[in-house]
Amino acid sequence: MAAVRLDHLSCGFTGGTLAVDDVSFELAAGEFFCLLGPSGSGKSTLLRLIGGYLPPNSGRVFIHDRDVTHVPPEKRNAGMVFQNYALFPHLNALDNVAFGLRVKGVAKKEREAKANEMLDWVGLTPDERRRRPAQLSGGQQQRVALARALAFDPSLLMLDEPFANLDRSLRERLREEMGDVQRRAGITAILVTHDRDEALALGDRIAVMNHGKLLQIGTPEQVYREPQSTTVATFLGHRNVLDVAAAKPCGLDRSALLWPEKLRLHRDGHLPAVVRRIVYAGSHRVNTVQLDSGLELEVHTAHDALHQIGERVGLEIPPDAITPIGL
Amino acid sequence: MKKSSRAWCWAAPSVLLLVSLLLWPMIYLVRLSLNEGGSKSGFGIGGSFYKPGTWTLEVYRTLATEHYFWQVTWFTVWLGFFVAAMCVLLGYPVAHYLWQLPRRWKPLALACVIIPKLSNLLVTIYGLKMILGDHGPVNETLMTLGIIKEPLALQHSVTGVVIGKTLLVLPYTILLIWAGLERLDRTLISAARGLGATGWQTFSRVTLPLSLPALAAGALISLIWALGAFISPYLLGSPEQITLAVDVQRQMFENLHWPRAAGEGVAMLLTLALIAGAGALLRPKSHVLPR
Repeated sequence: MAAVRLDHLSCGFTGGTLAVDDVSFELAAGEFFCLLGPSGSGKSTLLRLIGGYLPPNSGRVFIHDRDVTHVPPEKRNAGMVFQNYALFPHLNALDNVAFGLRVKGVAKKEREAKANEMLDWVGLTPDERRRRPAQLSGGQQQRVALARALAFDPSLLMLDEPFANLDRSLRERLREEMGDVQRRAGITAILVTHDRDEALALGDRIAVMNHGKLLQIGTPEQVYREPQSTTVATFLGHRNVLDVAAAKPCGLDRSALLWPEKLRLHRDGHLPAVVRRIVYAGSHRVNTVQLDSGLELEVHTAHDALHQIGERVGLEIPPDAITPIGL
Repeated sequence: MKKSSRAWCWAAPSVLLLVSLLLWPMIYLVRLSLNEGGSKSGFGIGGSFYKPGTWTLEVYRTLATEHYFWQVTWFTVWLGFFVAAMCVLLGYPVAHYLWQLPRRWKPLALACVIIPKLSNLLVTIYGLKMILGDHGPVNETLMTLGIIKEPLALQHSVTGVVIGKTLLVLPYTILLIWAGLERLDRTLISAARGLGATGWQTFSRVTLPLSLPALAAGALISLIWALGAFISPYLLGSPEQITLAVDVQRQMFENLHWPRAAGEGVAMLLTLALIAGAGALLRPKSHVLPR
């Protein structure tokens, strides 16, 4: 049984291009799914379509095999963590978490017990639970938002860039905790992010989006190691992404990804190049070399191979350094 | 120091204006109320407005014990609260509706709220007199439909005063509440829906509590505005039920007792100050976070 199934879903705003263009995929129950894409790629719109906050132009949305395309958000039973957390400013942390149970008519004692349990889970002290959102730090607000989204036992957890407003160290810690919480709850989760590290670290599967279209879907390893388009490869942070035109001077007949740690620099390498930049990266050095065609490539070298800026070298591209793109 | 003195320069014209056109007349008003009334040797055409240079608390002694004055004051305050309540009850749903309009319709909606305020006050009131009159469209329609036999006393009655004053104050109430709602973060509404709240629950548990400060501000402004009611009670009300503002005018131009008119003016000012002060103290705390 699919936890979520999207069937040729499209959505566009009046007079513009489609924000979500014919997207279909299925999520297994308990899966952590990441929607990765640059800003404006339609990933947040797609999340809002799944949550029912926006109506689609065409296509269908199924949650646990129930057609919810025209079901309002309050009847989809999907918990959402908004980018700005959207905590109710007039309620304290505990009442925020208990809100979903309160509107369902759960008795005060019961809903507070459940809310306290959730807040124990995300690690908020009893004192902090009595505070209003404005009196909580960004990290605490994020935990409250997560607890609130899970407290009413939703069948789906949706996260819209939940770490975007946090500083780096907190972001990394909460990211790990988020993964733990999701696994413990055993809930299906969809995370929207523009941060590839976040998607690679959290996702059981990743869907890469751009211009409203789903470009590739797969495990983090599949998407990272075997990108199906140069756009996906570039967006995942690969530096040596060659389109067809750039690949030709390197002796390749289609677009390809070159792994910098497998490329080698020799005096007698068969592609003449000039070293333009050298950056020390701890475990290795990152050399940027420019081929005669003008193309710049990154090559990682060990510390014993010391090149000079401006030095003429030969680039060797071993067969295992090449991953063809778009088979 | 330099910066603050420069800021003063820019504020000076309005400060000057307030002092000369508001503060000074108020002081003058208090002074006038402490004069003795009517005398042949007084100042004015034929005398008898007040005796210059005299000091007495006579006016306040009279007002404090006079049944008529308290009746007028009580009616003024009652009318103020009633009109303010009407404005909030009628204005909040309108403001809520305007808030939910698509963005492109909002300028037009704003114009619709403001346009009645751009027409001349007297024109509005006389227009209203024609509509509310015994042979106006409201009474004619109701009688034609057989709902009533006799025309309703829609003017020269409290009903007329309330209708007129509410019509005049309502745009301000709507604008204030609307502005308050616009400051509300809409994702809070989405969040409430996502957590399972119905439309009504979202309104009663999120929108309404968060718009209480705006609602209170709207109510207070309506109240202050309504307490100074003059034109509506003067032209639409009955001579028996008048407000302080109308009575001040009467004391001034019909009774020719300026100290008494001034004393009633001071009483009006004190009532307003009392209500504004209480309103400021009891104002609900705003939970809208600065963005």
